[in-house]
Amino acid sequence: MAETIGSTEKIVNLFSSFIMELNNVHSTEEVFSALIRIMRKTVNVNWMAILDAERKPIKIYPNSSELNIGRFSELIEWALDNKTHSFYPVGEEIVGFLPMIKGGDVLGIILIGLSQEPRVEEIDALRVFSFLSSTVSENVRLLEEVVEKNRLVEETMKYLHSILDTFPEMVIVVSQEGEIVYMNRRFVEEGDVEGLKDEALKIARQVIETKVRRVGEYEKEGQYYSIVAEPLQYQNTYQAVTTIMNVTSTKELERLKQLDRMKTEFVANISHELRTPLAAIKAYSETVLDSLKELDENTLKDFMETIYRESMHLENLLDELLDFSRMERKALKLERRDVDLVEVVKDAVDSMREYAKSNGVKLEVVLPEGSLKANVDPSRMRQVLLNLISNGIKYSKKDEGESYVKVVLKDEGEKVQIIVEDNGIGIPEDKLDKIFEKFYRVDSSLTYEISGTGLGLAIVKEIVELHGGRIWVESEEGKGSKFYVEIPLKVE
Amino acid sequence: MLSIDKMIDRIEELPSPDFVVQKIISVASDPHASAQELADAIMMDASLSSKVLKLANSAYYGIPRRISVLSEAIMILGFKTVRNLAMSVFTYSSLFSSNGTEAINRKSLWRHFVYVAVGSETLGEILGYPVKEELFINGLLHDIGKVALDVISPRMMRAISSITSAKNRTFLEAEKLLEIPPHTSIGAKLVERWGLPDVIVQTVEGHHSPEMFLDSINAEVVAIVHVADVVANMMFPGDSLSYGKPNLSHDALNLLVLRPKTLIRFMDRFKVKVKKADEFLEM
Ligand SMILES: [Fe+2]
Ligand SMILES: [Fe+2]
Repeated sequence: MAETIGSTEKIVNLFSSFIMELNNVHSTEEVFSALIRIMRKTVNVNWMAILDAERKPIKIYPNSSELNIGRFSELIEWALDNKTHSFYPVGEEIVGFLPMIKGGDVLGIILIGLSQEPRVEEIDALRVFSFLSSTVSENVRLLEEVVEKNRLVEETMKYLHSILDTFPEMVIVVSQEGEIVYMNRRFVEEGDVEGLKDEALKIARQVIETKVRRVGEYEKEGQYYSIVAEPLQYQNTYQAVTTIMNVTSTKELERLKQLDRMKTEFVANISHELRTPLAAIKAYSETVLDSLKELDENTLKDFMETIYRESMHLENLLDELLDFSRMERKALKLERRDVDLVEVVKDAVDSMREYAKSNGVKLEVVLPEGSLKANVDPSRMRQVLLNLISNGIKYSKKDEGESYVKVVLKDEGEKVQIIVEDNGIGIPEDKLDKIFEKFYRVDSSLTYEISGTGLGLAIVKEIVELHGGRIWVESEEGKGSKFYVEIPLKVE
Repeated sequence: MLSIDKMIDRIEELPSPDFVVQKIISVASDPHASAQELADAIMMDASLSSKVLKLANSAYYGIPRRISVLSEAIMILGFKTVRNLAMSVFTYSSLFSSNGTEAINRKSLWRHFVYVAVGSETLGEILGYPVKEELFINGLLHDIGKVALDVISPRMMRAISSITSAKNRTFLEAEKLLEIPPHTSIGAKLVERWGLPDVIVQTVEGHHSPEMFLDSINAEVVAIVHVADVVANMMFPGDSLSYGKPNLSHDALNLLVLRPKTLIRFMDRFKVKVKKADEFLEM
């Protein structure tokens, strides 16, 4: 009924000023201060107390007053239970009980001490004021809660960020659109490496697409990075948490460890290698010395040839070791001369014929017509050829079919190409890039079957490179290998 | 069958508020009136004032201390509650003093009035409606048209009674079936004639179809009484000669933003309140 709520100018003015005040409140405290002011403008207020849902006073007017709220507890409970606004005569005073209710929940109660009985329109106004202030204060409280919650969320975020910033790894998060949406401090400080971000983004995008963890690596100027990206579901989209770690020190350590292991193996191998010819020389010369008179000429010649062959082998091994040590000291030098490479190749092949024959390997050679002049170190070139040919013979298949090693010399104008091809056991694909490393032999279990220092190819590579050329290999396991040596004809 | 106009003419046969009640209604509608004026008006009828005091002290309000004078009752319970009590006493006496058939049980009908009044007030409380006392009187009077119909045309009332109880139909369905002028329209004319405020007229007219008054300033009151009436008819079938499944208006639920959870909370609290309202049933 419209007629009950203030039609008088005073009430309208009071409402206007109250609503204006409520527009500017930022805390429940301010809401209740405004409420007390408006109540005092409406009626003669002796005192006021605003209690919360636990019946604890949260605001009292006048500030200094000491109120005995306890004496009203029965009436407070009744008013709250009935959700009724009512006024009781208590002694000389009229005490108002104005529950603050929102959505059926008790938010608190306003107590108001009046010096005289309020009129109907005043009661209505007080009720509406308390109703408005409870609604507004509840909204303000919720707002305060949201603000506090946001503050907490922000603080938690800060905390998490500072944790992520202390990580030794670089961490970035890549969104479904492929953009970096987060990066930790480590990435900001150390992630500015050419190409690294692009590689990380590439892996992250694959992860977002496949939703499967992915691992990658990146190398730049001797620095190694491992990249691990994990899918992360976030608000119906997929992101990739990408961790980048500089693993150079780990890699370096691993390399040194392996080198150490290889050196140990090398010492064991080389001892064995040196011992074998030495043992033969010792045994044959002992026999010769002990039974000089009983031996016929042929047998003696045979023995002496063996001793000679074994000492040659020993010399070869020692030469290799010497070369290697020169190589390590960067002391390997070429003695270039103008020579005919056709002659060099023919000579080297010829000197291997006996060895090939005794191993049942057919040795073929294809040479260009005429001569092929080049400025090279002929003994070093010979060393390269002997090494490659003997490897071809060494790694031939012992038990099946016809084995061959084919040497081809090709005139390529500016440069010359030497190809040493075999149909031997071949080299596994994953070992191809390692065979030119020092101490390396494809299968260490073959060590005792096939002799060698494991330094040969490393020295060959060094010699070829000293000539300004290059060496590479094509091979298929079980089918054979094809070594290519390319040497420029002119010296720069 | 009687036309609605002819029926309205016969409404005069119904008891209308006497001088005292009229005075109470006018005082209660005057914003400048003081508690003393309302007290004075009620005290003009000794039996009315003692009944009002009795209700004010009843379990329904459960006031922790006894009220012995009307002015105190007005202060404690509020002006409007005391007016409600006076209107309840008047409605009760007019219900039981008017002629009528045995087709409708007056006691049950009165119980329905009280329960819908209590239910409307309770629902208002839960929804946070600021002037819940206004809802009590609207709930109390919403079906006053049924009393009028019983007085004007006992034959029609008998027909409705036999259909609703035998065929498990609502009062509204029976009215439509028999093409009888609806109790809502008859009731609205009646309260209008009594000089009651617009909000009560609209509630009586629209309590089965609250969508009629969605644009009215009284839309919430009409919707709240509608929901309370439906719930009362489901919980206490037959009290107002209505059986079957009453139709709950979606417009009303939307307007009040009444969710199932709130509705269940209301029904629980309603059951408790109804138990305390015994003193309203026997005056
Ligand atoms: Fe009805
Ligand atoms: Fe009804």
